[in-house]
Formats: sequence, C-alpha cells, structure tokens
Amino acid sequence: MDTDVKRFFYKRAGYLLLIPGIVVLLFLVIYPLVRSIWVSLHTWYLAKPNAFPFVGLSNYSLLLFEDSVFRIALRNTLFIVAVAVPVEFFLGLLLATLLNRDDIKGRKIFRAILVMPLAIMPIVVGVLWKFMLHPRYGIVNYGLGFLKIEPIQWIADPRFALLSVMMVDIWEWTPFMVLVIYAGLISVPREPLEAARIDGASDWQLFIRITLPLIVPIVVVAILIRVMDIVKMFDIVYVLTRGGPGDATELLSLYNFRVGLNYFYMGKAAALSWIIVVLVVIFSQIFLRVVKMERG
Amino acid sequence: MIKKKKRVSRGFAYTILILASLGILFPIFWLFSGAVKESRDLWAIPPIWLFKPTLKHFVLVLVERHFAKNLMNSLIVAAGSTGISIFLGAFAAYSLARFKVKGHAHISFWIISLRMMPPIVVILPLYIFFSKLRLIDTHIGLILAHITLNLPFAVWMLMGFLQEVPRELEDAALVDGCNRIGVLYRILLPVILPGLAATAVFCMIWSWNDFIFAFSLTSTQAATLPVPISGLLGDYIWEWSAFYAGGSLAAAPILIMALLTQKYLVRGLTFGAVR
Repeated sequence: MDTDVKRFFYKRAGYLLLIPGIVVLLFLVIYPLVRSIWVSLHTWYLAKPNAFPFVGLSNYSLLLFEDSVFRIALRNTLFIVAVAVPVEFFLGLLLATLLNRDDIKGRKIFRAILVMPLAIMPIVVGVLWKFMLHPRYGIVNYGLGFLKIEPIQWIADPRFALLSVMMVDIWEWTPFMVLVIYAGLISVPREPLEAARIDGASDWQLFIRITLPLIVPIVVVAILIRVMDIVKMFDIVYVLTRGGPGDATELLSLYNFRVGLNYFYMGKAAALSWIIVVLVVIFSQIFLRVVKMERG
Repeated sequence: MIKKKKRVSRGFAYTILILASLGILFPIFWLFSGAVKESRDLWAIPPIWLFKPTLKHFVLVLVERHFAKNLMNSLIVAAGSTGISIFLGAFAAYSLARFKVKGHAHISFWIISLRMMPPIVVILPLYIFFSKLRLIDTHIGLILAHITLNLPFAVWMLMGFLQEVPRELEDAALVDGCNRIGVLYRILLPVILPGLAATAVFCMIWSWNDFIFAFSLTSTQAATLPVPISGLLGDYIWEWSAFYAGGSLAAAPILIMALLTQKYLVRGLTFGAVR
C-alpha cells in the first residue's frame, strides 16, 4: 500500500509540482481576464453598478471608429515607439561598441553607472524630471542657457510635452540597450574576426559582415521588450504630464486607466484593455519565436 | 602614423563614454543632493553646488509625512510577493525543467507571456474582483497583485537556471535514496543559489518600484512608497524637499541591490532571453 501511494506520487510528481503555481495564475490572471471579456460586451458604469446591459461589440467599435482620444493615445504610443526606440537602439549600439573595445579601461565602472537608471523607481524618475524640466527654475533650461537657448516650456507646451516624455524614456532605457547589446558583443567569437582582419577587412566591414549578423537576435529581443514596455508605459507619463497638455501625451495605458478608474466606464475600459492585449500578444509572440529559434 | 590615429579614436571613445556617464549620473546626483539641501536652496538659479548637508528632510518625511508606514508596507509587500513567487515558482520551474510533463514547452511559454501583459489590463478586473472580496487597500491584495508579475517571472528564470545544472548531479542523489523534493532542496537550489538570489532580487525590485498596481489597489492603509511620492507634486515649498528626501529613501535600497546583482541584470531584464 505504502509503495503504491509512493508510486502514484512519483509518477505524477511533475504535475503535482506544477499545479499550485498554475492554479494561482489561473485564479489571479486568467479568471480576471476572461471576466473582462464578458464585461467588455456590456455597458457597465460603476457609479450605477446594477445596470449591466449587453451591448455586444459596440464598446470595441466605439473605441476603434469613434473615440478620438483613443486614436490620439494610439498615435502617441506608436510615435514614441517609432522615435524613442530607434534613438535608444543607435545610442545603445554606439556606447556598447565603444565599451567593447580592447583598449578601454574601467568597464566595470561604466557598467555600474549604466545599471542605475534601470533600478531607480520610475515614479521618482518622473517627478525628478518634472522638477528638472521646470521652465524657470529647472536645471535643464539653466544648462541650455549657456548654449544661448531660450527657456523651453517642456511640459506646458504641447509641442514639447511628448518630446519630454521621450527624453525621460531615453535617459532611463538607453542603458538597457547598451547592456543588452554589450552582452551580445562579448559573446561574439574572436577567431573569425581576427581571421578576417588578417585578410585585410576594415573595422567597418568586420562590424557589418560578422558582428552585426551575430547579434541580430539579441537586438530583436531588446527592441521587442522596449516596444512592449512603451505600450505599458504609465508611471512616468502619469507624474510628468498626466497625458496633457490637452491630449498631447495621452498614451494607451494611461487612457485605459483613466476610463476605468477615473471615469468608471468598466465596459469600455475592458474593451480597451483587450485591444491592448492583442497588440502586446503580437509582439510577445514574435519575442517568443526569436527565443525559441535561439535555443534551437 | 597608425598608432597616432588609434590613440585619437581611443580618446574619442573615452570622451563619448564619459559624457554619457555624466548624463546618466547627473539626475541621480540631483536627486540625492536635493535630499540634503535646504528647502530654499532647491530652486536657486544659478544652482548652489556647495552647501552644508542637512538630514532634517528625512525626519520630516518619515515622521510628519508618515513615510515610515509606507516604507513598512513596501517591505511587507515586496517580501510577501517575492517569497510566495519564489516558493511556488521553484516547484513549477523544477517540474518544467526536469519532468516530462505533457506540453511543458507550451506551458512555460504561456507562463512567460503572462509576464508581458500590461498591468492595466490585469488591474481593472482585479479591482472589481478585490472590491467584492474586500481586498482593496490590504497587504494581501497588493501581494496577490504583485504575484501576477513575479510568479511568471520566477518560474521562467528559475527554469532557465535549473536547466543549466547537469543531470548527473541529481541522478547520484536519487540513487542514494533522496526523494524528488529532497533533490530540489538539498542539491538543485543550493547549486543555483546565485541565480535564485538574483531572481528574488528582481522580484523585490519590481514589487518595490511598482506604482500602477499600488496606486489602483491601495489608498491609505496598504499604500507603498510610490503612492505618496506621486502625490508630492503639490504647491507647498516644503513638499519639494519631501520629494527629494522621500525619493532618495525609495531609490537607494534598490540601487544598491541592483548593483550587487548586476551580473544577472541583463538576463533578468530580458526575461532570460539574453544570457
């Protein structure tokens, strides 16, 4: 009997170990998400919680075709992806390449410095930059004064507000790009590089023909992570501009938060969440494909 | 001639790297120096670079602004969500790394894609759910919310570390009559201890730094540090000092922890994709 029980557990040990974690995730993530599909098919205003009329897909169609704020939020989010991510990538590539040179000393110090912006609490980063970007008393405009640049209304001017958000994102996340690309560069084998150099290839040729192709998967992973982060972006923009002035810095996550937890239109908020989920799932699937390919 | 050219570009490399470092460091310096500046000097133009440091703003935020309580909440929530995530995560990771569970590849990819879900998507349904269970503004509620971030991450990271351990190690222990759980606790976890510690540090960082869950699901009783910090944008002069001091208090411990685990930083930030 005792051995039977043992064998029973032994055979199923894999499942028994996995179940608690899966159950917790089903309960905390999957159940709420499935419920939110149901909610998204209804009009549900939390101030009148008992009215729960079924409206089909109209929350989705209203958002996609008639909600101008949603369109602005989507456009701003894509704009940040299109501008900030390439800037972070090229800066990251430049700094990582320089850091990877044989004749550079103090790499450990540079690396430690790069770690810092990534660890600091994002909400602190947001408030700090808001103070530094103060038009009259901020240190940024003071510094620009030396370059004879007139004080800029960073946060209050709709032309600069989105730029301010991107600037902070670039400050915080370029180090991530540097560290990831650097990790890729140091894993590039030396022999082919040296062989090619003896054959007379220039540094530029070595980089384009040998190094770059080898680090492409890592670069793709880093870029996809940044894209997903920007779709999630909330903390910094919430304290820096709160979506303003007007809708100038409205972003998807921020708008979703507002619709749900400020206006309490839960049906609409749930529909918006699912539109965001679809976006993120596309990127995360590409991410996982790349990871799977890398691991063979 | 060649030598000279090389030296110039080396100087160029240093210049760029040092400029970038200064750009990265300056805001961090500004934060910590603002915490020990007199309130009236904070907005001085030109800025005051040399001053006698004061610690009174730390006392102000901890006592008058009740940051001590928020600090305690941050510690409780970070420890709770990390502990539970690592505990459950280790079992699940062990299962996925070593047992022939049907569809284990699919399950592990499904788990990590949960980590990539934008928090707001999970928050809205959790808010409704927690309202019914009276879990809004409780430590347990926020711990559960942070588990949605940390458990998938812990499973995925620990799975990666466990897969790197050679199988021979456990086979010997199994032959000696150790059971499966014993193998996990006595052999595998000690072997991956640095990775385990790094995973735990990451979970703590995310829990500690999280704003959106804390802001949505807590208000006063269980609010962690980011919640009151986000409110220090007010119009009263002393609040600026309160921000610099409170922000420094919130940032410093994580900065130190991240520096101690920098070896695993890239691996953690890319969810194990870049080793």
